[in-house]
Amino acid sequence: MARLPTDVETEIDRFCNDIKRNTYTRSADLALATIFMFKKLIGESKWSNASELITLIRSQAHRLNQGQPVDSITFNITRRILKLIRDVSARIIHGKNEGSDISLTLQAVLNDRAATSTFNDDDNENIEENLQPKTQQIQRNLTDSTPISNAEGEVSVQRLKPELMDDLNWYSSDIELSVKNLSQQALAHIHANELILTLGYSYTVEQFFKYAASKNRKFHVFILEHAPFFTGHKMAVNLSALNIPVTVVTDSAVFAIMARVNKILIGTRSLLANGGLTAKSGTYNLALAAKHYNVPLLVCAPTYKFSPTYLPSFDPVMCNTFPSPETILSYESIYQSSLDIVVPMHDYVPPELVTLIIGSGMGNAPSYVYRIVSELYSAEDNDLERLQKESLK
Amino acid sequence: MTHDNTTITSNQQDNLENDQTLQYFTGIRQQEPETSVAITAIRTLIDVINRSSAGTMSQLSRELKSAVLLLTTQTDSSMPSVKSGCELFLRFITLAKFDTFEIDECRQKLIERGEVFLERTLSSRQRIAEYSQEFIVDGSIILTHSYSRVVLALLAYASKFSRFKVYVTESEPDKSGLQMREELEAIGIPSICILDASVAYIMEKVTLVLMGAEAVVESGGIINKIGTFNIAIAAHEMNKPFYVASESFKFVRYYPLNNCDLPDHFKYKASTIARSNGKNLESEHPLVDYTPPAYITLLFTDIGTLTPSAVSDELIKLYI
Repeated sequence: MARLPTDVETEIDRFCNDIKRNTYTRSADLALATIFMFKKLIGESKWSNASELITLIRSQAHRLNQGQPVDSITFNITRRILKLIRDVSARIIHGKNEGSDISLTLQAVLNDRAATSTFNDDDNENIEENLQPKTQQIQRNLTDSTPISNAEGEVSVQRLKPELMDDLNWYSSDIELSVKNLSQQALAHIHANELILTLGYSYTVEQFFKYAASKNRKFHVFILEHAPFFTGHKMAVNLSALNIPVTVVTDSAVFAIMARVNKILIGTRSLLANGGLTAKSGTYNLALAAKHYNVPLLVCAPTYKFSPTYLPSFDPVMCNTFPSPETILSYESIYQSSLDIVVPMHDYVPPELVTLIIGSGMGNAPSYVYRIVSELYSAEDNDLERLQKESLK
Repeated sequence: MTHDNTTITSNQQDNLENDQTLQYFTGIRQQEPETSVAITAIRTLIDVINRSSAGTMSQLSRELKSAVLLLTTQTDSSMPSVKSGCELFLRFITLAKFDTFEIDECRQKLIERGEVFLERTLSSRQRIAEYSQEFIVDGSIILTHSYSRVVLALLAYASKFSRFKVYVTESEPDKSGLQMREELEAIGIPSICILDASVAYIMEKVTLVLMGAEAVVESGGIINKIGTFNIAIAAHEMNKPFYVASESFKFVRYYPLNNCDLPDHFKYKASTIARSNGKNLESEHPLVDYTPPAYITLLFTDIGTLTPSAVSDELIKLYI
């Protein structure tokens, strides 16, 4: 396996430190920083063919994603780059685009391109022996499949690197333009004299409203202030600077105003494979109120937020981050240890409550997210989360 | 006269072969009850190819088709999974390309393909367990229905990573839930057997519902032991996730619209249909029901975790 040169190591450390210090306030900035780091990793490390490169990236994956959960943008981009490497290799070998992943189909098994299991080969001799339950004897997990087929793995660095760097450059310019492309769909969704509700501050949603206002659409925005962080105030100031009529509403009043709202437009931290969201805390409340009054809930999510993972549990305490409760009650004011302050950052919103997901260039139903995810990423990389969890033990 | 003799002997030969096929099938069912029914059927078909004295490919494929018909009509086993396993197996081997037309070599190749298919399906339960173990978190209370080997394998694997409790429904008419409870206790998982009628009562305590399936249909719904739909409705009402664990060979290209759409040979045993002689089957108790995809949260399969809407996509990919 190729070792990492010092330059690359420094860059990775710098990236992880930036994440810890929350340097990237906008998701697009985080995405671009990730891609930049990958370009450096791929450009300056020593690797001789496609399968070595893939092994290198997979071994570094959990380190790059330090401090972030499995549905983070960094992991999504890691997986996207792995898929790009496989696609480029396949293009070089077969001379055409592969299309969606067919490694687990009957066709693929017949042509020996299936994701093979790591069963001991000697056991295949006698079919009768195989049929005893072998669960106790399997040492390595069956799902530790080979990350890339043999033919495609052999593509050498000389042929792969230039095409891959080209694709990466195209990918990073795609990310830069993703919010702009998204906001250009604003006119299709924001109609004249509408009352639109949003929660807190989101750069993507702000650009969305900005574009519509720039095209002289007249609409009114209600902003939930998003306690205890009060990011809604920043959104209100920014939007009113563009002469958009704005009303700030407390989170607790969401049910009361919902009857008057025409539609809801929110951003999200990530989009899960079943079409559910992990969004700012308060979004689940908002979604339930919307369902009750049948108000459409539109979510703006650029492609790098689509994650192929599922939430293992809907328990809000289990899969969440909790920042310091200093904003609620200062440390000095608490003398009793029987007081517990819970400030969850995120909420899970199930897919039944989401109406439409607006991505860069299209609007999709939540039930279609699985299809987009299967086209963006390869199934062989689904075990990246498990590598992460094992490294945390 | 000689003409009549030959027809009679070929009929006798057919009957002999049918008996051998059935014997092989029931033999495995008795000796290895933990093996899935569909896998037993596939092994029987491989045995048919082995024993076959066919001189041409089309005769061989006719023999295989009649063996499939035999297995689906003459045995009392779970119809949907036998049918889907056999259909997938037949498509799998008929997609094979042949370099020569020599029948013995072709047969050999078919047997090899069959064993590759069998090997993949054998590892499917382990695959399912590995993919879905993370969904069973510490402290879960799981509700399951009747006896499912896939769910058993999943829970056995997950018990190494987390601690949880299981409620099993007794599942009339064969009370197979009792056997499930015994096997869970043998693994060391605390489990309680409850009446089918107390599912709604227990649902508020439950964290998640986990089922096996006899077949997964094109809409993303499942066909499973009677009582599954009851549990799905209760889980939906109480906002509990409803998970289904199933191997990919159970996917069938079939699209029922509701429960009365299910064909009779799925709902009733072959012996029951033979007994009632085509008369009104309404007074018989159905053995399976259909649960629509709207009530299912996720499916755990050996090709990954799927939403119900992803099932027809995967079906198309499996069959191309």
